[in-house]
Amino acid sequence: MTRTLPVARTAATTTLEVEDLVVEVLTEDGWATVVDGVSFSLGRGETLGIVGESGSGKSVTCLSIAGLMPPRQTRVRAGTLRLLGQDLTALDQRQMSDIRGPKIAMIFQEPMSSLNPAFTVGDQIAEVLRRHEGLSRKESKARAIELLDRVGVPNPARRFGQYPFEFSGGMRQRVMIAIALACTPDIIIADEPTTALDVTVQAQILELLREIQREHGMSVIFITHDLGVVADVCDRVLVMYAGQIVEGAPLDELFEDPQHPYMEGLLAAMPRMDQRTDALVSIPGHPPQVGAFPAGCRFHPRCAYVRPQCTDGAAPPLEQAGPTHTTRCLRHLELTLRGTT
Amino acid sequence: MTELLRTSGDTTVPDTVGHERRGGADVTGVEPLLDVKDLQVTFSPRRKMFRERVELRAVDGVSFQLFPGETVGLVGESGCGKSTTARGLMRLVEPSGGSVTLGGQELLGLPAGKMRKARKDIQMVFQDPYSSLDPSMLVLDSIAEPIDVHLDLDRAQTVERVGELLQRVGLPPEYMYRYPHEFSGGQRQRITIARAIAADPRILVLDEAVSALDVSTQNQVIGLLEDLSRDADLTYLFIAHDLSVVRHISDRVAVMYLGQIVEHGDVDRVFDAPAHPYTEALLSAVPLPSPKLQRSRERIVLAGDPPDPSRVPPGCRFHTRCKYVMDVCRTVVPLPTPTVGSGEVACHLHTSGPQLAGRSVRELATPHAVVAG
Amino acid sequence: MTQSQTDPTTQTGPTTSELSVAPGAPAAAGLPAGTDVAAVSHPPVRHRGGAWSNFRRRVAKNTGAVIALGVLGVLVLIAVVAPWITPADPNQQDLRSVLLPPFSDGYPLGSDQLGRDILSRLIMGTRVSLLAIVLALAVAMVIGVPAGFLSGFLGGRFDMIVMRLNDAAMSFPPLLLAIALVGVLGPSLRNAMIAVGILLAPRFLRLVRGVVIGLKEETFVEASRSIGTRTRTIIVRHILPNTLSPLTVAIAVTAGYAMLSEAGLSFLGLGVQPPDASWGSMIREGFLYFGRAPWLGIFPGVLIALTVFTFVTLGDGLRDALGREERTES
Repeated sequence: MTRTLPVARTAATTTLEVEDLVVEVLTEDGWATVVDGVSFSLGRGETLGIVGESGSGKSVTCLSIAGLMPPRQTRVRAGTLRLLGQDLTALDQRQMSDIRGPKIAMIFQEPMSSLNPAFTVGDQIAEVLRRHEGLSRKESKARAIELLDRVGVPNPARRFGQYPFEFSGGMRQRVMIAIALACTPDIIIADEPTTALDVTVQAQILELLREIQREHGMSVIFITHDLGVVADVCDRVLVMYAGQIVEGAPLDELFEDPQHPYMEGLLAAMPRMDQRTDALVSIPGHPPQVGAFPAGCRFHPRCAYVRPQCTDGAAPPLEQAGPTHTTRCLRHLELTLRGTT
Repeated sequence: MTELLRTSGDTTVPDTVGHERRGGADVTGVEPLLDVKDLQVTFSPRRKMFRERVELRAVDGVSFQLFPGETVGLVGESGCGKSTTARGLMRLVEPSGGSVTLGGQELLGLPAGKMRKARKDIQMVFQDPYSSLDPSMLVLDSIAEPIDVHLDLDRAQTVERVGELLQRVGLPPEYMYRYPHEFSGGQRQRITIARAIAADPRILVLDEAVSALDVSTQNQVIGLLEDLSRDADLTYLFIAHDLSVVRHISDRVAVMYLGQIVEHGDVDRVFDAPAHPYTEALLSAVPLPSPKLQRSRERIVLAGDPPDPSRVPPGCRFHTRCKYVMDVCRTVVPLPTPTVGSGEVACHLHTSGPQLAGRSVRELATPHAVVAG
Repeated sequence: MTQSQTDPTTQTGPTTSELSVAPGAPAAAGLPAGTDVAAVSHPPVRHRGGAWSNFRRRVAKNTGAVIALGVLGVLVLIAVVAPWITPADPNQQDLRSVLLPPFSDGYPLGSDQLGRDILSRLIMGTRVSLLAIVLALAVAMVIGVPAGFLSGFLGGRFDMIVMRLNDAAMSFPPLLLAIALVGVLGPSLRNAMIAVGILLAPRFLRLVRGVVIGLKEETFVEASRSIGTRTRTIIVRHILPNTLSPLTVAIAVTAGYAMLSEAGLSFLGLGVQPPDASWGSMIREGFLYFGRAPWLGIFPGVLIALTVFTFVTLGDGLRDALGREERTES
């Protein structure tokens, strides 16, 4: 896999640009901000990981980019949301659905609920091809079988006519990948695609995603809470906490030299399969609830390095901690945080 | 599978890694607390019209022992029969064969009344902290359930004991007057642990007990379990699919595939020098949270899905996906043989595999399997 | 690193490392991964009380259900005090003032073909109709609940036989079956409602059976078995209390159906016998004069429609309250 470094990009190498994305959702107590000023760019052929605990806003960020948040209960604002130079903020629902498929495709955690149980998997792949690529019935079937074969579904011609329930979890996820791949999109957003799978199946799926990316040079946004998976597939990683990006860096740099106490905590909390640890460490407390984010640094109630200046005022700004490394920690210059080796 | 051999009992094979384990004391001559022999659990789905009745052997001849104070991990992927093993030995499903001896008493075939009494010593914690507590019952009554069944305490004493139990699992005693829906997953799991230890059992069967929790919460609950096992001298059967957690908490580990144990042994031996190709593939599939290590590792990607448990392949059950498969594997069932280091493995590579200088090539090729002498 | 640790060598007791237990700690940890959106849109609400009181609290939050309960309360009150509030004797005939339109002197809602006061008959009819519903529901539950419970709990052959009988009962056209039953038992409101009750019993049977089968699979029931609790105790402590809420929903929904059945049977003359009035029998009598005096049929018709609507709204509200499971709120 090519590991692109996130150096300053020219327009030609950037597929997606997000600037100051704000997402609010309607809760029982009114509008609450779930994603607060997220900015990043995604390079061509790059795999960008987004990690964070549940409720950090990582899924909402990606659903909003793909225009998949329910419109009545959500307000999405963005300074810039540009896909291959095209401004997505100007598009309506219908135009967005033309984008999804040929330009952005998504893969979700639970493939069973993403597939329609009433249609054969072949129909579901072929339909995408007919809708977006304008293929005929016959062409789309041939292409769908080809895709099933490509994603490693054995007996693709026979499996074409089978229903989702006849597939195992891993095979269903392959079908989802085939659907995502159908129009060779520029970006694939994978939201915890392997969380529900067994490890050996996870390994198969990750390998498949890697191969496909290599073949087509597409960009991937990979959402996960598993740092092992991140280390396996990503080039660059954003760490989200309470709706904000708190750290962003190339993979190795982030793991070896974290610049935010939250990332240090996440790394320390991962039990390691390859070594025996005496005690498992955990970050004290819980992530804050939406609508109840603390003042100052949002991580401060759980932070081991908290100082008075962290506890009030606005959230600290995202600062450069290196040429390609950003952090939202006020004390990053004075702290030496521990990473993995 | 035959009995588990204790590492420390075998003087010719030293441990590969020095370890100081709770259960690692010399247990030669110690009676096992729980002795499971050739356990079989068979499901026979209702006969469908025009279809042959297919028997599904979810657990097919599982044997292991639990010694006092140790933690044995039981790992494998979904559908391998690890949870059914637990439910079978607890008689929550009725095993179709084998033997389960708890403290010298045979549990299979025990009449209902005696079985109820025997349950005092072996309690279970389930995976889903949401559905394992009755939503209509106060925490007090949930935790008091084993006390009511097994201990002869009056109401005041029961309330006092529930308060103590809550404190022991790290929750304020006042919480007993609340209902389950007021608690987070981690707190609920603490409550189910309090319930499981309420009648002073000797063994806890933990069936994916931390799998549904966030990493932080999971680590805290594991810490609690470790404290409890030390303070209350509890023995654990720890069933999980998360190998990292199993490595952390277990003294010994058994790996299941398609209803059988394919390998078992001291946890460090199994993780550092897996003897069965399935174990090797399983371990290599777990991504490590370290980019450098992860890039340099050899990854074994198994082909396809595990076979349908109602149509088990002949010979070695793993042969359809094994990269070392030999002719013998397709026809002959491999028998468990002692492995270098500790434990046993059921694989022809260790008995019929290619030999070099009198030793199996596989052993020689596995860098960590240090052989003494 | 000053992260909080659970280091077995330094910890003195199991409780000192607890971090998740501050009483005010938000209660959303432990949600499985992938619940981001759900967790966001349902912030945790802390309430006291068990599943049943929780259910009642959610009902109280549902405006439709509260209004429906209010309407129902008024109807029940009218039914209870009916004999004392009727402006005239509902069976008092006056052949000199038949088929008077509403707002006539002494007949606020008009009079029927025998000169009886329609308002008074409607008020008495409320009592008859509601009693009929109660009787039908009681019969349906006495048959359906225990049978469904045993069928679900025992399973196996017993379940198979009960379900076959149930299917047989359900495969009859309901009204035909009721007519046949009333034909055998003799026409009276009581017999008609027993027949309706028998017809409705399968609804409760299926519901209770389904709930019990679901509960049997619940981990807390399995946990209780693993503890060594007696089966009897499991039923009394775990299964029965948890069937209460779904049963309440079913009662509300079925009540509407019972009301319609009563009206239908009374309309056919198989229910309440003259001179007594139920809303259904009033429609039947009014039907004959529909061209000349439509209000005879309209008033009871509107009342039936309203009451059925009330029951349905209540049922929907209760179902919503039940549907939002504890799980999403923890």
